[in-house]
Amino acid sequence: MSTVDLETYVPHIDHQYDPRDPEVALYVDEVSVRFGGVQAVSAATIACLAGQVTGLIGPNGAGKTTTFNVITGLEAPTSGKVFLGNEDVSGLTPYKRARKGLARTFQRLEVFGTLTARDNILAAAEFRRGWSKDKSNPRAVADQIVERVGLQHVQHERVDMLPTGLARLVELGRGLATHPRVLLLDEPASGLDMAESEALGDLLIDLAQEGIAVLVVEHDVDLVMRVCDRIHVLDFGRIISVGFPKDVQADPAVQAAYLGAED
Amino acid sequence: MDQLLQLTVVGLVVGCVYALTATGLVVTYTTSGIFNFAHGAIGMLGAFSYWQLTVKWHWPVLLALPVVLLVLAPLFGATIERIVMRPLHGASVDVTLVITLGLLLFFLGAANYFWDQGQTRVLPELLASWKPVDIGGVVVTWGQIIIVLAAVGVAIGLRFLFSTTRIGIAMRGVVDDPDLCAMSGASPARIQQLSWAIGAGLAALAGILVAPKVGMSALQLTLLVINGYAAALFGRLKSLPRTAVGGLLLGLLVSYYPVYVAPHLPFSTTFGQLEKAVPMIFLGVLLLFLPSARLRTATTVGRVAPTVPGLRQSLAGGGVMIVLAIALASALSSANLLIAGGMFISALSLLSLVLLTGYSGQTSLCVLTFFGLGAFAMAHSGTSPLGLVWGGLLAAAAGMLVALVTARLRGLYLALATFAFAKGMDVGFFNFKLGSGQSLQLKRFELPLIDTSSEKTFFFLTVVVFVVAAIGVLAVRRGRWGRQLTALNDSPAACATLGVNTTITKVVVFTASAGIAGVAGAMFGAQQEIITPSQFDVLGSLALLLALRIGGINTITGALFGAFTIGLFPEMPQILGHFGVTLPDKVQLTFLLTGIAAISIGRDPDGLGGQVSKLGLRLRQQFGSSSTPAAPSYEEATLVHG
Amino acid sequence: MAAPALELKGISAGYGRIEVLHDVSLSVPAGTVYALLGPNGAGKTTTMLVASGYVRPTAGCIHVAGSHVNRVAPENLAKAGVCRIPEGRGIFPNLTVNENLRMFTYSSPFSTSEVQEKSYARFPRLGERRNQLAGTMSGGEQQMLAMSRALVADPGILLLDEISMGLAPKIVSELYELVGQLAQEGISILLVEQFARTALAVSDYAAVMTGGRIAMVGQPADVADFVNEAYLGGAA
Repeated sequence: MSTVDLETYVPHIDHQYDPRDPEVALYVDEVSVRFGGVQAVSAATIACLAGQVTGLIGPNGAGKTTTFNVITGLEAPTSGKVFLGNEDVSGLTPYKRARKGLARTFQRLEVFGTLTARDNILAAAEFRRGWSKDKSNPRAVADQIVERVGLQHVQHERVDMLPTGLARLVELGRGLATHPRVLLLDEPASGLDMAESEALGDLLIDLAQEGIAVLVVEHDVDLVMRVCDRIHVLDFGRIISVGFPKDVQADPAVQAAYLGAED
Repeated sequence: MDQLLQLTVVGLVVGCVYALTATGLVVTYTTSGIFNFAHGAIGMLGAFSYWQLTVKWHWPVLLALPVVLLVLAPLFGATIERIVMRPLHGASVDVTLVITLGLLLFFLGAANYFWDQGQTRVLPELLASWKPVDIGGVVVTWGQIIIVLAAVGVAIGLRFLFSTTRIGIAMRGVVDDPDLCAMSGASPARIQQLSWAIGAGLAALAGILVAPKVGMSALQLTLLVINGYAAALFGRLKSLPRTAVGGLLLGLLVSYYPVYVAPHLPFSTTFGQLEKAVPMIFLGVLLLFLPSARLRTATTVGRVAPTVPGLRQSLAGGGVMIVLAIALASALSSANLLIAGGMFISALSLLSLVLLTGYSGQTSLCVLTFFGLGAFAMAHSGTSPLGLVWGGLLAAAAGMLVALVTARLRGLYLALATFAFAKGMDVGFFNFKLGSGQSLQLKRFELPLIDTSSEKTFFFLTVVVFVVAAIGVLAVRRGRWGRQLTALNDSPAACATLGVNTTITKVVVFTASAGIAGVAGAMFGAQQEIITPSQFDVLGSLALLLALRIGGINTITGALFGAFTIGLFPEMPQILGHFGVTLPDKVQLTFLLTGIAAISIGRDPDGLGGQVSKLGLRLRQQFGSSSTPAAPSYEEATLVHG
Repeated sequence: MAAPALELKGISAGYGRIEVLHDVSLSVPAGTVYALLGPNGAGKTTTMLVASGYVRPTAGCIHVAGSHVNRVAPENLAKAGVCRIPEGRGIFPNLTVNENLRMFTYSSPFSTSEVQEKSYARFPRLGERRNQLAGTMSGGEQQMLAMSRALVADPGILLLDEISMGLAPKIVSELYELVGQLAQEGISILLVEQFARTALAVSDYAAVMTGGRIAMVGQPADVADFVNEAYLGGAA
């Protein structure tokens, strides 16, 4: 038996980017989070490039949502840093990070349930008008986004009455209304049917082409493989594989993470 | 030196009482997750039943004491758990707050009903006939010794219970994970019931020990527990040893304050008179040092937001109300106009809570403090109508201060902080500035062309002010800022990740809400032409919040319903008197009825107003189904869920 | 032949308006290990919750050892021998290890000392930490403690929900050793697992769930290939 302590062991991954590279929009630098005796995230490093969709996948409990919480500032890491557009934002509160162009959706929905779908997006557009220099009309922005994420048919319904899949689209639209440079999506396709899922994939590719860095946590393998430019695999809070979709899929470490070790 | 020793002994004894009270609170809170605001009221009932048995019925102490402490009080606590608390399983802090506050008022009203507070009662100290002991030159009574022994005994007993007995370990386990407890075969409901029984027993013990000193006043005994809040908070509402230490520290501080602390402060004469506010200041300081709460994530437990009327609708509603007011003004007598006007003034102050609690989800137990500040400003403005403005501004400034200090707090802690503020202002400002038991005369403001001294005109004016404020509040709700408040209420975490500085939003809404309450207070002062400190005490604030709950927390109709309910309660004896029914004094009745109503309706954010509109909707569906649109509106969905 | 330890027949269930399980049927013969596999959100945990009485089915029947138990409360099911080790949180974090074991024996015929002996013999690391608060232990140790409940309960049917979640492979294999041992003692086990290979190694039967339905049932070897596809897509 080897003497390596598996609970703290960090496999060597060749990270090809640096937080100061100009094309890096978001850089998670060796972030660790510990809850009591449980190490939720261990020295995870993730780079997201502007204009690309980056995937973050891994089995249940691997630490994906915790990583999102650290990036957005809702949770403080035990160690490690977060860079937004080459700037260290580790010490900033969530709202200040948002004002620097970071938006997200939540796996456990955080919609404004008592408002209508359109008002959720309108509220976000109004928030942005309040803190940014761009004073474009929030109502116009909201109408445009409602159409873009495909919510016209339910825009006047209260969000807590919508099915989960559509409520996730509301969260996505709400994030877009703040004109983010980096967009974090936590399981955006869960609760969507095939056609809706396909449309979401197209939308993500479009958003990346506009220059947004999209980081997506998703369990729908087909969707991830189709839209992602690069994928990071998180397991026991560690990044165990980084690369192009095909390479990640073929990586024995990834298969072991999903299926258990081969005897 | 002798004085120091004397004060230390007194401080320790008082501290033991605080520790006992707080321990009961913490045991119940950790196990059941419900902070029992009625804890003091239970202790008060314990003291009164003990008085009834020993003094009135001449039972021997050795029989009466165990009967109250080991039988009556625990049974009472267990019954409360079974009837009131168990159905609340999984309810939000907001709901449990309303229910336990309702219990507080209800018990207070009930005590007043059974034991006429006009009568003087004396409860002798335990072992009063034994000769006091001389400890190093300080004379200590056996009553004091018993208090210390009781506190030590309870501490040892609980320590034993929680670390060695199976049921005690289960009580700790249920805090961690009630479901897992159930899987292990330990019924969480039973364990929580036991914690209520223990809590009630400890409350009664504290009540009986302290009553000889404080006196048999239902109000004093009930509110004494507030000092225990500070001790409980010192233990972060979790740790019993820290709670005990907190109690002792507070006891010593209160005891040392007039001799060793106050004289060294600037303005020592002023501060010297603030002795009673010391526990509140202690509580406030503790709250400041609490670690920052994590941003709350969305709660989806059956919250409902009724449709907001549009501008045209609200203007029409306001118009109808003013027409009705004109009709009423000519029909009612001057005395009844005063009462009716008072209701609209209450409704105006409830509007401030609709904005603060109904829309943005912040809890406040100090609305009457802002109200009182408004009245105070009016009293110093002579006959100038600017008094309304000064009243609003003074209250708004106080509101901003409270919000800045409590910016990091929410839920229960915010409730406790505002409670402490209300109580502190009560003893440290109103009773001080207006004179305890005294009153302040003021003059009604004068307006050009309008004769404000006529009750008819003033009533009309009151209604107009309410209508304008209501239309304003509704306009806010429909607009950008209203969306922001609703968003903040629905999910603070999402707001923050969308770039909203939630602290500033909270401060702004708190300030605006306090301002409205201040204007209402100024109107009140002008209408009454006399104000007394007791009109602005913390119990009144509780009654107002509960009234709004009864009416419906997030609607204008709710504010009106609430104000009318609370306004009608005191008149019940007179109204029912016409039918030959006699009822007790009005104040007690207000508490009693408000308490009952809040307990029964506190779970429903829609309140009475909501019930009525739901009924209307149901009737429409029943009889006019053809006219309803095919697509289900969200009101219908609400019906299914509610 | 003895009645199956657990049988679900045509179960549909969900939360509020959203149906999660559609017509799910499975049968765990007495004394066997049954693995329930599938990707996230397939309805595996909900199936466990239905089997232990925490979620009421909207259609179908649940049989435990041949008795119909659709309307039995969870605590009574627990007493009747249905033991569920919940996903990720099967311990009391603010009690010591000893006290946790004492809670596990709350209504069991075993004495606390007997159980402590048994658990510490099985997991010596727990014995070393007997007076430590459970929440301060590592994830693996916490899961070992949670598994001790199975030793205590002497269950008629043991429901294991993702015991490997977030744990290092070494610990997972240690936990599965125990699962194998329990199976050899004749305890019937239904286990939900992400790690298909690990789970299949100890099971007698396996089923794959996707989208709230049972997609396939069979011998462990047959199921293995199917699973690969369901998790990682065709290329793997």
